Amino acid sequence: MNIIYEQFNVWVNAGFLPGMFAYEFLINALFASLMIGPLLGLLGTLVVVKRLAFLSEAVGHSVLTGVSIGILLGEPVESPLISLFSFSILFALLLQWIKGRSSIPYDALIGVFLSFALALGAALLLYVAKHVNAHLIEQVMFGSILVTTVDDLVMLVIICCIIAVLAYRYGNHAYLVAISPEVAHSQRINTRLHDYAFVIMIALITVASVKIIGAVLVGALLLIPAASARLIASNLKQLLVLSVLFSSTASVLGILIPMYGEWPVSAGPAITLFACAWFLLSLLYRQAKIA
Amino acid sequence: MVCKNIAGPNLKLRNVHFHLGNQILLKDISVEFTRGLWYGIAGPNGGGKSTLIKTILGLNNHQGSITLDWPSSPELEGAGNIGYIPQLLPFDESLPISVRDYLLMSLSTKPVWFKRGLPIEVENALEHIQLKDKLERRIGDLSGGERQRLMLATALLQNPGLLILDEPMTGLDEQGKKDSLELLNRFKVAGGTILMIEHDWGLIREHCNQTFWVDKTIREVDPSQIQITQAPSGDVGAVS
Repeated sequence: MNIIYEQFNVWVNAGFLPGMFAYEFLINALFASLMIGPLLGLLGTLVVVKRLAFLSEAVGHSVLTGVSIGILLGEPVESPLISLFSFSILFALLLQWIKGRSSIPYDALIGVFLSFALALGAALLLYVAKHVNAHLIEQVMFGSILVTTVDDLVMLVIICCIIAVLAYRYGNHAYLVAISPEVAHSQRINTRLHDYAFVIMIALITVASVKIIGAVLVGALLLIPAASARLIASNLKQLLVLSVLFSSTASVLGILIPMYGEWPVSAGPAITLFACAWFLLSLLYRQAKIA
Repeated sequence: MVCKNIAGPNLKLRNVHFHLGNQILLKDISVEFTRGLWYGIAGPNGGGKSTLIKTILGLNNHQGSITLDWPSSPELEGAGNIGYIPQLLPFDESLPISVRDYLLMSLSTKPVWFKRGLPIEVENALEHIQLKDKLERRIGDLSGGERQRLMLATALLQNPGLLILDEPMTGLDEQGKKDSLELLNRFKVAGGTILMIEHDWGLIREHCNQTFWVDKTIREVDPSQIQITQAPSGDVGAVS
């Protein structure tokens, strides 16, 4: 990474880039957003087709509990990754497991899990913050561009590679399972495995994005770009391309614009607001097209 | 769209039982379906017809045994493949999934966003079912009949040995029915096995080799003896 930081410094000194690019934390956050954006856009299309907007919210809120447990168990305050991954993935798997074994409507089940995750996470986090750092709550809930490390970037590269391979190999099956699980099953596609893989991927990308976007809003980034793309796309390819484009641009702009304007806005809310702007534009475009 | 020599399976169900909580949906179902024949499945609403075929597809945790015996001859095609057409249900019109997308996600292993071309045999099949000019249309914008034609074509293009159809003629106009029935007849003659839920006794009489009445249990009925307003048990009005 040092070569990249030096190169950015050269461009800053030459006047090609604003002075803020001399900060290593900003470059880390920028690279992270360039990976988080496409991932959230890609997975968001499945969230929208499956109508599971609240699933990503619930998994996002589980991060609050994961962070708190990690700190209580003695993991580093800035990156309690083992607990984060373990708890969020277990949370998602448990949700899916109960769904497969009960007749409770899925949205009601997700609602219960969402409330549980938020309540337990808030209780634990408030307890932990008293002993550690009050700013931790804000950071976990709304994200920050200050704390992305090179290790986080390596983790994101690995998650990107895993999801890219899975999307290439099983993307078609995943969409078929989403729109017609019975037909998919008749084609010998393991629909149960797909459902579990989907919630694990949501958990992975949620945990990977939480430092930048925050636990409260990571679910929004899985939903808003894909929902915006859905308004104007006429086929799956357009849905995917537009969703990735909206999500990536919102992520990058949400990192750079507040920093450039020296606005006291966390990265998570800024990214979400840019995504909402895409939604508004898509809505206006659609209305204009209909009229 | 339909191969000349199809590896249709023999199906054997032995004491199949399925319940949800205290509610028994299928009770002691024992029946055999032979390859190369077309079976009609009729019964009252809520009698368990769709549950039976979903159980055969492996979608329900049932008791008892279901055996599919596929022929192993190398000259026969479609062994192990099942084509399924579910009941026609409303499709979310706002979902941007086109006819091309649906065909690609069912028939191609390359992601729909990379490879958008369709093989020539698929194009020909679409021409045959008069959907070639609607490739880019959203599935939600198709009429019920067009969707049923798309489902049948997609099922047949997967080279199945067994076709499981849940009211496949719903929404089809007369020409659509005639074309679909002709395709299904060719499939059967080539050796394929067909299980079809149908309410139209005229159609069952004309095309099915054997018919079963499902009302939690199963029994064979002779469709030529059925009056339109009479269930096989003689309960007036149970069949419509």
